[in-house]
Amino acid sequence: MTEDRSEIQKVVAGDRQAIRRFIEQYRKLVTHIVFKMIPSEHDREDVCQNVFMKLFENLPGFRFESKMSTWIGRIAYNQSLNFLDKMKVPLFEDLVDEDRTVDSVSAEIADPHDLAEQADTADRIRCEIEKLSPPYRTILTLYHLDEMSYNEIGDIMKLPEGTVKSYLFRARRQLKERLLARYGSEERWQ
Amino acid sequence: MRHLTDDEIQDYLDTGLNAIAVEQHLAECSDCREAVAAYRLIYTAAAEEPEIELSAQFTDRLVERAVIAAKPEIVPASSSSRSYAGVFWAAGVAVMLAVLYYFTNSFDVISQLGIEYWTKFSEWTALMPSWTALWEKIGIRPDLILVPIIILALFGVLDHALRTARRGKAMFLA
Repeated sequence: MTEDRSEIQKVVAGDRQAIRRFIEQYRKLVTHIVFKMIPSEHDREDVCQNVFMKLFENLPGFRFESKMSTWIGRIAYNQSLNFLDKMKVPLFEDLVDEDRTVDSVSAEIADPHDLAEQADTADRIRCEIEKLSPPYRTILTLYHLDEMSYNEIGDIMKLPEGTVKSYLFRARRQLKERLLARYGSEERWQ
Repeated sequence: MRHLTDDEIQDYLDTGLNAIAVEQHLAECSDCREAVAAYRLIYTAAAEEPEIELSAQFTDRLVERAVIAAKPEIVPASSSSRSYAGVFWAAGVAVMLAVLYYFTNSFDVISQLGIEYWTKFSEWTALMPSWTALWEKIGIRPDLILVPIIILALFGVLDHALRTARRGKAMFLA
């Protein structure tokens, strides 16, 4: 367990093996946040590197007063925000216009043969997730994939618990509406 | 019949809120069953994202960067170098003052000026245009100005060399 103080001391002291273990332990969390926040694929890995370097820089000051994963998540989220700010990427810009009606989306429904070519329903849903705005994607991932609570997600994203829940519900509702509009009834997803 | 709201369905799927009432409704309502089925698919897909693959060198590159960045923190040379730097600077300034004291009569002139003009500020302003006269009075020659500067630079170079050597030794030992 990397939250073990002696293990952290080793990381701070520059112990290669401890650093490697630390990276491996928290790589998933950092990539989940950065990859959901940063739209440009070629920048994501660099941002992940910067997040880890920021972590190593600040690790000597970590006081074990909060969960290590929350602290790491917060740094990953802030680094991603800084990057988006620098690149002037709007935070809440959805890749699909939220104001479009379900009817207008239905009119664009792909050919059934194209749908059949898609790997499976989960892939289709993940494609739709990628079209959500970065904070929605991040909350969805932290909640479902990293199994974090509203409180932990709120700590990372500096949002009240109520706002986290509201964003999560809104993100899933958008996904459901798009799925129903694009892919029709339950039978067609099977 | 009132359909379940999106919030009711999500609360039911997240926490089992109002499970009995929701399930009774679902038994009778195909629209809500469809919505619940869609949500279940979303929950499953979101929880089963494939692992993100990073480049093969990601961890190796990061470990190297982290080890190099950690060195100044773990090697006592860092803090001792800082104290050495202070000693070197103090020694440099002391030598510079000694040179000025020995080779010039600047201290006498300065103290004399202080006594003579401390209460007569107007005298200072009168003195300002004639810097050349002041320099001559103090007895500073250009070559004597260069000496302390060279001494300070030598101390600076020595300090830098020492710090570099200690850091290199620490990295080598690691």
